[in-house]
Amino acid sequence: MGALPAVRTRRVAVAALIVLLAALAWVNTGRTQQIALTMDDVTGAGFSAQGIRMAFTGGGATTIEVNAVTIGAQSWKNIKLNCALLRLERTRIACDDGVLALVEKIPLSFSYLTDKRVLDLALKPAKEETWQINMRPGKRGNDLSVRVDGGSLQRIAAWLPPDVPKISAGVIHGVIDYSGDGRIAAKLTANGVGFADATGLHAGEKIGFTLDAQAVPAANDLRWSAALAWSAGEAFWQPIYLKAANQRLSAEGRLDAKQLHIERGSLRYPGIGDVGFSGVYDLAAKKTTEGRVSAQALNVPALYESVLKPFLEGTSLSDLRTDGRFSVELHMGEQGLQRADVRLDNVSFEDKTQHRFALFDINGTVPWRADELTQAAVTVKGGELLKMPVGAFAIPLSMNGMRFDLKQLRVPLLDGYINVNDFVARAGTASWYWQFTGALAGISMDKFTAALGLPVMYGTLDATLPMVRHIKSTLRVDGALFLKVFDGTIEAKNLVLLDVFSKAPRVQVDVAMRNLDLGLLTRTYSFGNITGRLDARIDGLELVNWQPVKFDVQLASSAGDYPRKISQAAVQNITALGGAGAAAAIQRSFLRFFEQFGYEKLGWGCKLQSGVCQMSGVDVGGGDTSQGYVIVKGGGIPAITVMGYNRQVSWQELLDRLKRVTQGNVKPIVE
Amino acid sequence: MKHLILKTFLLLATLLGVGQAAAQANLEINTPGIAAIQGSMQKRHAELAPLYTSGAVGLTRDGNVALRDPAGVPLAQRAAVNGLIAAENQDRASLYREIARANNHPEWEGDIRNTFGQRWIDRAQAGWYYQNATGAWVRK
Repeated sequence: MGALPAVRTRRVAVAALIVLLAALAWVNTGRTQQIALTMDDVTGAGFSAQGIRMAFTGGGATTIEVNAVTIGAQSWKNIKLNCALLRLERTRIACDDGVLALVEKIPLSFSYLTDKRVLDLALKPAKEETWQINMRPGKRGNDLSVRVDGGSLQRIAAWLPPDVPKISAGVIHGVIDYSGDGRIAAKLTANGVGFADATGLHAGEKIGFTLDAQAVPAANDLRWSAALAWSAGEAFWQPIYLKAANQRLSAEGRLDAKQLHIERGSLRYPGIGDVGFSGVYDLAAKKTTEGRVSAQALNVPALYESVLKPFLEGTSLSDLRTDGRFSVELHMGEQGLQRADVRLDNVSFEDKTQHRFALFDINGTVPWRADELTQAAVTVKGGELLKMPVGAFAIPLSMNGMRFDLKQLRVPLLDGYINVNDFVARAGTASWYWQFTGALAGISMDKFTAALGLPVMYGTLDATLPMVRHIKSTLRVDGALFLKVFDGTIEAKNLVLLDVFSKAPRVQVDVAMRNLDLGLLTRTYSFGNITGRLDARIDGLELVNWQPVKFDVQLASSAGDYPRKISQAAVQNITALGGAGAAAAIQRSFLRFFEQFGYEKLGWGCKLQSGVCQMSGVDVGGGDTSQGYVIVKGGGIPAITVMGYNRQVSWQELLDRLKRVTQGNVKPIVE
Repeated sequence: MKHLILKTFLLLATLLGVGQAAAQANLEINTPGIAAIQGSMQKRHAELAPLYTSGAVGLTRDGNVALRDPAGVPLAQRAAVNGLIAAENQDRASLYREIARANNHPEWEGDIRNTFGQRWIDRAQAGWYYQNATGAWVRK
């Protein structure tokens, strides 16, 4: 693998040293007291040394100087090797106290047996650091062993390409053996390794690991195997943070000139499970051309906490309680993912702190293919939506590449159900596009409102969702959304949700309510009873962060024949909302003896803009309205007419008044 | 302070040739959307303040915040801090957009961002880091 060329260059370097020493030996046997020698440049694969000079100064002291040495991408200039006493014996050349001046001064010793051609070289760059190199003739060429004790990883860092995180700390121990026939075996242990890039998005601290790797050359390639065990420290690789937990990675395969083959790989992650993998990596194209990943029964909670959660930060799935087992088989080809088979076993998840949603016991298989129509079979035992119980349902999802179809999904909710029809989702160039039609049916309003913490309403909730489309961050409802409530209907048209998932989602909609039963409505909101029917039109309603900022609302009695009665409490509350006058008048007049009054029609309008509501009343057909506007026009016996005098009110003030009134504090506020 | 901002904005508007209209942008405008974003940013500020003080996070000149000194954040917290920074920048982008929208000039978003960029720096506490005009980090 990658170590092979380095070892070769080292061979060349050592060979060059031998040449120099041999030359020196020859010079010495000539008994010359002082001699200077220059040599031709030495070059090899990935190696070169220029300007080699040697000076033997008598008394055994020897200096070797090299102008420049290049190994791989690294270059050193003006290298000097001093040996205070070069021993020249019959079959041995040795130096016990040499100093190599490279970037720093490194003490070294060596011994070379000329008859056996065995070189032992020891470098001691620091007190606790030794690099011992032994080179000896093997069956084929020279064998080389490097033993490292307390080797500084920072020294190796200089050899790494510039785009990988910088190694800042760490020591290694171990042995690397290289045989002349090309076999390599390495057993290394590293401790206290630290690395980081400038952005801090990729970093590790106090990392300890062991590496056991072998490579054996075959006819046209190199067979290799490697096992890595991570025993200590922590690492952050944006956005994942991992702590050492004895994770083990092992793989074996072969390497040829064009491709790296991983034939069998496995990752053992204590707590999560085992993941198997294999694949082919194209060295020239720098991409994976084939890959398989297989994992059986992974522990979902551990997988979610360690691996998935960081990717879901900022979404509604970032704080879940999870359970269950998850299995997956992935096949990748040149065009990317080709097949994915997912199996879920009793997978459950719930929104841990906000309790907005939950699904329990999800089981089934999802056999996805890049270019084939397949069918997922997934069942859900139950769940919760906004604290409302969700019953069991099945998800009959059809998949065809990046298009997903759901003909019909029926989710039981309370005593009714949510129906999603003709759901289609497909990946666009930049974002997902999806649409569906749907309905809510048979849901008891009392249960529904109680679950949502709203005042309890009665009746059944039936709503039709026409085409709902989501493009980029805009959700658009084509046609009208239809809701049956308070024995009447509510129709929402031109509904658009902008920036749906932002902090300030915007909603635009026109709403028309028809024939609402005022009896049911006023009882629900403890407003004081009114008998009758109400129509309401809200044009251009605009909500930002679910608060209204703009609308034009007009409430009016529905047309038709029905009993029209208004209680004294309701009159007082309307008065309190609308402004001055009548409440006090009632209190003073004989009208206070009546519990109920008749009316002909009632109405109220509010045009909201810039936080101010411009109010109006019911159209009474002519008459002088300069003094005020009619909210309730009397009729029958006893009749009462309620007038509003304030045309303008702050929306917030109006809301506060409404709150006071509906909270049972019916004391009118007279302006 | 307010006067200074207005002046800065006026100068900016003139420089960018956005005309008199842009100079009248109301930066203090309030809508439910703006209130929601400000509320969310205010809540986050308690978590960001110690990071400003330690110098781990600084104010950028384009009205965002950025991880200035990663070494000042333990590895285990780095993802959370990056998440905090991303969320804050998302809110700031929404804030600039909402203020531009509330002024009925969505096209002012860029100018509003620039003005706020300077405003955050002006309001920063002593000891906090910010980017100067050349993009270099400076301790206030």
